[in-house]
Amino acid sequence: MVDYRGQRLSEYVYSILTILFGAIAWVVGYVHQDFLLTFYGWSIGLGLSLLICIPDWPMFNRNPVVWLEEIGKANKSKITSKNS
Amino acid sequence: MHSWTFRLNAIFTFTVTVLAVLSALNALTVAFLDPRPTASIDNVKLQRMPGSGPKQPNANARVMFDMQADLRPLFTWNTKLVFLYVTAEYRTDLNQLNQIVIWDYIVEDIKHAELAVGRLQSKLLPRHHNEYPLIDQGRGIRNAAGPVKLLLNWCTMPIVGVISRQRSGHAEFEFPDTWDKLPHATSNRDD
Repeated sequence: MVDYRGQRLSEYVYSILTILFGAIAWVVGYVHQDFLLTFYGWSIGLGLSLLICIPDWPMFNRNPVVWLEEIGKANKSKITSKNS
Repeated sequence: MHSWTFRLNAIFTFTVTVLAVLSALNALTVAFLDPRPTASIDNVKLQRMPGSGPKQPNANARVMFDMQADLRPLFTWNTKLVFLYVTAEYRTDLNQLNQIVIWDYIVEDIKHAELAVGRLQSKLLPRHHNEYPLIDQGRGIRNAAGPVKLLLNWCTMPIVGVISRQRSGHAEFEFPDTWDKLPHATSNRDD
């Protein structure tokens, strides 16, 4: 599972990638008067975002979440006897 | 964003929204242009189609014409295709306006946007041009109020946006009194 810092990094990466590729592709399409070029550039941005941001890469797991200690055995038996 | 399915959904939503914005900007850059293509029709000839006669008194005619059009101004990066068609219009006692499509053609890119049909046709159009007979509803066309008008219409279909329709080009002809006595057309199309 990706940790919190990693989730934020993933979101930044795909937002910036998609917007950058979309903007550049739009300008290229405008210059050549062909919307197909814009669509290709956009789909390259989509493919890169999917590749970089979806799988569970190590760079997204650099700050693992610190969980609390497990409740001690003595306390555990007290809790179970109270419930039963 | 904690699982890959969540991230997949988020990425697709965001990216498709970006595409929608790009398409809207595309349409916006083209929306305020006012292209004026030129077109003209003349030299109209009629032939009587086989199958019309005393037993089928509705006029069934093949209308042949010369048409020239320069539609290049219509092709921007937001144009998917242009649909051209020639209509014959006239008024009878039965209907205020009769409109019959006698020819149509689809232009898909700017290379084929300069067209000539008929006498000035220099090469075969890439897809054969469609020709439909002019079949009258009733017999009113012979007594039509005023001449029959031929007009060239075009519909511009954009990638994103509103379909627009314009028309121009103007030719008039009358159905001859000798209509019933004209010889039948042969199956060859001769100009």
